[in-house]
Amino acid sequence: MGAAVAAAEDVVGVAVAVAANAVLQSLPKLGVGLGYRPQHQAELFGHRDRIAFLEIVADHYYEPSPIKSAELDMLHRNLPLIPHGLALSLGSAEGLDAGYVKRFQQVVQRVRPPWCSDHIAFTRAGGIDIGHLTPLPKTKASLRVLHDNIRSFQDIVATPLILENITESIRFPEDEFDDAEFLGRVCDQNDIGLLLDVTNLYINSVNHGFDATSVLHRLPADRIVQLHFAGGHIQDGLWIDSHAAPTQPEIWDLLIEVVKFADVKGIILERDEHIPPLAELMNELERAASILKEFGR
Amino acid sequence: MQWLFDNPLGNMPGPYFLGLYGAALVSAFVLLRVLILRQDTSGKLPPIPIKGTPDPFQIAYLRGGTTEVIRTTMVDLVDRGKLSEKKPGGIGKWLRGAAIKWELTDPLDRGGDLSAIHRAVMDFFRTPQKADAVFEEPVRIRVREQTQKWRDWVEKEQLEVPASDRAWMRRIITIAILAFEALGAYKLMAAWAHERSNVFALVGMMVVGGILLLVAASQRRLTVRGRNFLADVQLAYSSIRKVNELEKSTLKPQIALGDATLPLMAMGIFGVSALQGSSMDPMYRAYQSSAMTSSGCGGSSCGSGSSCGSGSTSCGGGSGCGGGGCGGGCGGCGS
Repeated sequence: MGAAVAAAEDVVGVAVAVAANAVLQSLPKLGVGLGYRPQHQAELFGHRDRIAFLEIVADHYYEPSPIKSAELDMLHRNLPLIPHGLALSLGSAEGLDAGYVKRFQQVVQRVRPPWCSDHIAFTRAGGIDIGHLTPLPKTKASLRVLHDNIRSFQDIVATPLILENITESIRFPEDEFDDAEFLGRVCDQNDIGLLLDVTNLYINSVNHGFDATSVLHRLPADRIVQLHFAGGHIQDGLWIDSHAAPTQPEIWDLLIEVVKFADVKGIILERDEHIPPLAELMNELERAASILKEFGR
Repeated sequence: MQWLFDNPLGNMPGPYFLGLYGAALVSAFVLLRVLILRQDTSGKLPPIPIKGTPDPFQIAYLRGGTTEVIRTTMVDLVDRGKLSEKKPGGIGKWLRGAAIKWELTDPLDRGGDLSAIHRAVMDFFRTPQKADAVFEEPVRIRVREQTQKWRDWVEKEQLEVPASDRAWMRRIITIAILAFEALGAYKLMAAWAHERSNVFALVGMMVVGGILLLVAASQRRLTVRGRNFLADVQLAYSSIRKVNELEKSTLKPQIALGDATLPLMAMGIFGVSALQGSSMDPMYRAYQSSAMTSSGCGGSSCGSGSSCGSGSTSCGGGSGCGGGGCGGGCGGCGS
């Protein structure tokens, strides 16, 4: 009986995958952009010609103050925006927080993005906010939870959803899939795109001892919609996804591999700490843009 | 002549007439607002993106026309060290309110490397002059000639309500107010003809209604599109709204200023209020006083989107529309 259900799930997954290609392929190509941080607000427009779009943290605009509301309108009038959620908690077995989804939807409605994003993770358990993106065991049970929650989300938010791979400080002994298979199944079974965080992929590969390139080549290339990249740092022998430094050469190499492999629609540079003048980040943006151009993306 | 006041309207009992009069007032109020809102179709156009670093003079023009361009130019000249305060000497320095004048640091400086607008302002200050005297016609006309490119820009992009539309609206508004007041005056005369003296409510309604209709008729100088663009620029540069705080702070915000200095950019985008307490405070004080004596749209009262200055050609009278910090639509001097 279990085998039959699994086979049926796979058939559904394949059917969904075929249909998905059309939706994901039709998404517009945005180019290279920046994870918006208010510190850059005044400087942003001086570099407007090199910033193709912005990724905004959707959570910053939930029930916004008049100033944040005006800021959102101003950004929306000037640049394509992609709302990126932090706490949808699609991996929560207890289901979604309806209020959070509603607020997310309100932001999506205001900025009308081509797609929106969150993480393959959970941030809430037993009604308690963990305040951190927590990895899921890579099991069929997790896939079912994700499936149910993604369906619930899509019942309310019609905009295409893409999900991001996170860094994983722990691995679960009960994992049934490796990274590539799990990410592929999440995308295929739910008809969604992948927001591939190149830095997270690299960090996981180093910290957990696998080859990032071979994982990359086993991902469904046609579902990789957007990339994140940032610099991390090493602490006690472990790579930390701190978004606090210029992108390291190893991550640039992996980014090039990804762009070779997948026809990505957009790339976002993230920086959350030690935020330098925007002019410094522009070098990284230009380099990413030249990589896209080199591979005809 | 008896028919003149002896008819259903003339004989209508006071409370009923006041009800009718109130309904007419509300209808006229709503109609005027609808007409004004419908007249501005620029909101349907795509928003104007902020392309690169703003030109402070262009934004100053959008904020308040030629007047604000002149003010911004003066700030630039002070910032460049070409214009300075000449405090009253002799007995004048002991007199409260003695005029502070401004003059060129070097009276022989022709400003050859500067724009024609700069040169026009510099020429005016070859002899010491009060700051607000610069808005008088000779300078205004010279500067206005140089602002053609921005006039074309606001017209092409539909950022400003066209003068013809404003004139048309003024006619409609005048008719509406005259009709309203005429109806009240008729009833007043009818009341007197019927030897009734209890007309205080009617008189009050005529006064209040007239004011309400004027408020309803207030028309912003900038269109929805213009206001949105200006609001976007002001929000994007909100970190430089208070120049004095930035001058004191050791943490300088990351701001794209292009060729402009901080005071110039702040002045262009926000007006003279951004300079209060800064190294440019004398400039702020000079225009603050001109704003207070201005008969036009004065500085502090000139909130975003007010309708000050209905003229389409010139503020005239020298002081023009004052204090300058105004956001969305003041500076209705129109030129």
